[in-house]
Amino acid sequence: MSLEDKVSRIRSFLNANPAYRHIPCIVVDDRAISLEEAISYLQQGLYVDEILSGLSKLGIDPDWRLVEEYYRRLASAYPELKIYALSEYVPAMSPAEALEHIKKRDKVGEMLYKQYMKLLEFMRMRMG
Amino acid sequence: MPIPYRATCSRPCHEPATCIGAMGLKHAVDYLRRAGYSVDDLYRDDATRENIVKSLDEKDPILFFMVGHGREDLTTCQNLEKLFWVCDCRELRGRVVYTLSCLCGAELGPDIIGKGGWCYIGYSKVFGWIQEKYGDPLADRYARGFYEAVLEILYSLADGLSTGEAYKRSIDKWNYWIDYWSRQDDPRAPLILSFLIHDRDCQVLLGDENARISTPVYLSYLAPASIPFMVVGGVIAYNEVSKSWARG
Repeated sequence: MSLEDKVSRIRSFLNANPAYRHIPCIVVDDRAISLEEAISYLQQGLYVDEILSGLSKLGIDPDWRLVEEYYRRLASAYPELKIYALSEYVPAMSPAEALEHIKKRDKVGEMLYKQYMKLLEFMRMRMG
Repeated sequence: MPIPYRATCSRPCHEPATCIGAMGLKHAVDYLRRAGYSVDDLYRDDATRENIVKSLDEKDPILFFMVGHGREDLTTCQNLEKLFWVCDCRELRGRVVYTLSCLCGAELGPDIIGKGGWCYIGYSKVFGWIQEKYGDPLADRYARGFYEAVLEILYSLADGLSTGEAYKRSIDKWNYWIDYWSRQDDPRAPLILSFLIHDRDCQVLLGDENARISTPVYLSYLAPASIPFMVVGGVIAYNEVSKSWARG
């Protein structure tokens, strides 16, 4: 499949599933980027190998920078959101509190990280 | 023997997560009552272990469902009082049990079935959801999908479906909302999706997937076994009637 075909496939996936536009999913040049940014780089011929390799390993290659970046964006744009849970150790938290757990890599941070990796895996399978 | 068309529900409300859960399960209480079930609804300060065990002993309901904070080996009621824990859940023998609690599906659920529970549905990992404003989760655009999937289990059971069918309908509901949020161009959508996928994947059913809360436990086992006897009985009765007609 040519690079153009790959870009076109990612684009049609995002058109059908726009939620995934907002997910930092690949680390390029020490920076977590989304699929939209990836398309833009691919069209300019930048980081092609890194991006294609990252796409094939979504949710498989562990990288805390991705989940940190997503919760950082959430915490700054939607501080009022609440995450609730029916467990004794974390009944409710804001995106900023979730980000703190992720930075500390504690039990809650680990849970959020695993959920995020699962989401990336789900996205990879959906992209086909 | 647990009695069909009866349910006991524990709805503690002592901090936001349990209070939202209690508001969510109130929809199931109302639905079951409209379907003709007698529901002992133990809410807030009434949701104590003493009251819940008393209700199970005296009303002997076929269905027990609850919301409460949990961990792998136990679940709780009002003010985090321990409700049922591994090795002490005999009160749930013969019943269909649904726990809207974190983690209980990992150890407590298997123990409930091991102690004679008829069927158990719950969550083997942390059950979490996203909500914009405190209140009824069905009225919140982010929490709605989570609670529709939860309530589908109880609505389906009330409608006379088996636990296996109720479980499948709930999974279909999770998938519906995963598709819905995949199609939303909203930066919050991935957060919601990550929790929807996680909750769906940790929802477990243990025990008998043919259990029904409108049928006593012994009838569900008896019904398939009785078919050969009914056929043989029918043939014998037919022969006897034919002979008596032939004799005039």
